[in-house]
Amino acid sequence: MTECPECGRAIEKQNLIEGEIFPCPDCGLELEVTSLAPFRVDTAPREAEDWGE
Amino acid sequence: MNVSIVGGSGYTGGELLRLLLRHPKVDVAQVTSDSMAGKPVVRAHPNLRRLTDLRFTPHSDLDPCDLLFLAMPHGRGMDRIPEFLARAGKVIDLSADFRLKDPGLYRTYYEVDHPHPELLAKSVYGLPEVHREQIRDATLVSGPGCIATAAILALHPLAATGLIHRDRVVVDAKTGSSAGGSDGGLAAAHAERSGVMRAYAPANHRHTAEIEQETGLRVALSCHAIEAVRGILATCHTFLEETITEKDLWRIYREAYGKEPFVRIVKEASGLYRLPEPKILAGTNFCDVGFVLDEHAGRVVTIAALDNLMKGAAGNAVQSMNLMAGYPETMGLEFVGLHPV
Repeated sequence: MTECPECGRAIEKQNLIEGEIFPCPDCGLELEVTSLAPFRVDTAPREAEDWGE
Repeated sequence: MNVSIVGGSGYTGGELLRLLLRHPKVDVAQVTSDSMAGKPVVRAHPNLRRLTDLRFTPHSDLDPCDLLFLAMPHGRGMDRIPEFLARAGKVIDLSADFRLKDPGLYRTYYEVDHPHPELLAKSVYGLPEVHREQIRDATLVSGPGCIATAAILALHPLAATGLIHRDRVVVDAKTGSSAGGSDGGLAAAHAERSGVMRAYAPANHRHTAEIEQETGLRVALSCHAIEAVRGILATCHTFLEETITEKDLWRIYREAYGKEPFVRIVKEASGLYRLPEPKILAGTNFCDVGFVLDEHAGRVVTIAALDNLMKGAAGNAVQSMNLMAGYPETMGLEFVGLHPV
């Protein structure tokens, strides 16, 4: 069990796998599983766009 | 349970009928209207065609029933409330006549001297999220105002914390045309209302008294008419006494509303509908509540959206009826809304 870094919602490990990206059920923030043991999530990196600059 | 509606020809009466005719535990016995006496109720509420053969009866022909809904304009039921209470064991009044506990406020906000101040202490302010247990045992429930409902639900959790300045609260409300009733006069004419963005009550709106009574805050309320038929959006500005984080706000609102069947916390990181919007709540009994921390200004903006005829009136009244009768609180109120709409 861990929590969303944005809203504090409890997040359970369930069937998540390392590297999986999923939305927080409360605030919708995209989260990434960064570790399974111990179970940790962090804000998922946003897609970087190359705008040709 | 046999229920009747007094003053059922308006929009709130129609919405009550829409809900009650489909409620599994309710039989609607009578719907009264002097102006439409003898006419089918579907004449006033065409969306109910084939659902009922009821006709409006005059107020004077009202029979005893188990529970009575009063859907009359403010002031019309004040004098007759003892008669209504004698005719039905329980009464839910959707007007403002028994919302305020201080009788002096009726002179200030409604320009009347209340004829039954002794009943103001007996009536229960009918907002289940604040007075659920009192509503269960009540005989007289007073349905809150639509703008007040949105503002109270937005502010109540924060007001209980002591984190905000209690005398610096601004509520900016936008409202659709149906909140003005079916007899809205010239202001409701299409030519006047279409495209409107009008500050119709920048100060001293009547609902100020209810919001202050229920939150304990001193509130500056401004109300605007906008281009919508249904819907209230209340944007509430509060100012912090101490530093907090958004996670603190999540904890406060989650504790208040995490188990509420009709209040949803809406504050999402992506998508179109990140904060509450009344558009997708039309016909539902939900009040969506969201918040944003403005660190720059030391401000918390709380936002509530609802359908003024539902959570702001008839839906909330049926929710209260369910509590008074011991039925499941959500019975007959399960509609989840439309999208797109």
